Amino acid sequence: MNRLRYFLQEAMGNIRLNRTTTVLAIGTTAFTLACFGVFLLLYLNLRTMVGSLQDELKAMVYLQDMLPAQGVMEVERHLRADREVASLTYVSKEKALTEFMRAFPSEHDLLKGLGDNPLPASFEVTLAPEYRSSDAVMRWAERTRLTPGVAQVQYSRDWIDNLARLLFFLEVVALAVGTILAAASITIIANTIRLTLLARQEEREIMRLIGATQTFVKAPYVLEGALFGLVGAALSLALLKGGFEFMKMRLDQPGQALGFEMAMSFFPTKVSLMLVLAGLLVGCTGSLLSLIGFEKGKL
Amino acid sequence: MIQLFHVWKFYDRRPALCDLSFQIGKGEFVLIRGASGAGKSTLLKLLFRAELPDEGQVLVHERNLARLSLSEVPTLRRGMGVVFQDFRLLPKKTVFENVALPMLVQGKEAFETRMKVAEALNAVGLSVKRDCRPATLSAGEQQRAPTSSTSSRQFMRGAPRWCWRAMTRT
Repeated sequence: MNRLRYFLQEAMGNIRLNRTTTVLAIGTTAFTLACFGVFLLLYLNLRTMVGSLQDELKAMVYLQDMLPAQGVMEVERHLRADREVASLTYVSKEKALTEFMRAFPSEHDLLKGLGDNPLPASFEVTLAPEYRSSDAVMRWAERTRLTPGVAQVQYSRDWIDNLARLLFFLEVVALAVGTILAAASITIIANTIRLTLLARQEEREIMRLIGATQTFVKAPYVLEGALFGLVGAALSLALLKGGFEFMKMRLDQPGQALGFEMAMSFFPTKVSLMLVLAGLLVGCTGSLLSLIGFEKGKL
Repeated sequence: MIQLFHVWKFYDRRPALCDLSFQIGKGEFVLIRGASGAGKSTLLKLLFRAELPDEGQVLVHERNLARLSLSEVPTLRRGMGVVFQDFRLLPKKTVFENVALPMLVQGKEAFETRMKVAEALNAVGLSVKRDCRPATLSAGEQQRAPTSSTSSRQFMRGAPRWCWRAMTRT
């Protein structure tokens, strides 16, 4: 406890010694983590969105026109026996027409001009989660299309896949940007600490002469880097939260006007803590980098 | 126990110590004197392993200092008390903190450190200056501060002139 207090006091003393470079180091760390955080926020929200869209993924199995009840039952039995099908709902021609009217009230005349109800009966199929990949859905659709009584199978997989591809792209960009900025941040922290090391050379020599171990002499500098990282991470989280709330407010208003709500959410506590840990890691790496080989073997 | 066997030390091919051998037993008080450049400081540096001899052996408690690994050096130094010619006080720390530092390095408890430092400062007449920075102390006071922190260990001091003055005061 005595030692920890001493290390903290020393680290704070070091910080006071180089105020400008300290501000620069903390600022860079905050900027780095904020940039990475923006991508992470986008990524996490999009991933949640893709996940919920995948849960709602439905395929439509359209039946041949004028298919007798016996034929409808045959198709239903076939679909229920399929292990890739999680659930299904029958949509009769009449129900399809009612739903169409409800969804497109202004298109009444269009259907009237076609005479009898032209909409086919169908089964709305929800696929089991393990069979929702692009390839699996495509294979299932091809197979189901060959079932007697089935006219067509439709599914809206493509744009969900595009979204997933965007997600992957975001992941790569976030990693690349994060790595480059983290390297910049580590370099600045390492240089800041090296300045302190040079300024306090004599003090370290005295410490060594009274029998302080290398760990004891160097611990305050590691702590200094850790503090840079922690403060930078806290600052970046504050920036991200502020920016997120501002953007949410700006996006919510037009969203509500258009009749939908943006389901965006900020980092859960676990991710926030991970960001703080990332800051700590950047800070510690910077300080350790400045200490590696510094005064090595000095007695 | 300190033993030196045929110790030679050179600086730029000039000998600072020539074939030096002696032994200091436990509890002995030894004064080493000599002209400027005679090698007194070099000898001290060899004893707390700030330097290594070019020839010969230096033994402290029967351990050859040349064979100590870098990680063993702090342990050796923690068992010694060295007062340097130029005082070597940390300028940003108070007298109290400077005196407490060796105990902190040794991992002593805060309470024990406080008690011992107060006792030591009292013994050298620096109690009233405990919260002062070294820059505000006189030369004599500056030398007494490290003296107080070394009182309980194997004690070595450079610069006899200051040593004598400090010793007569304490």
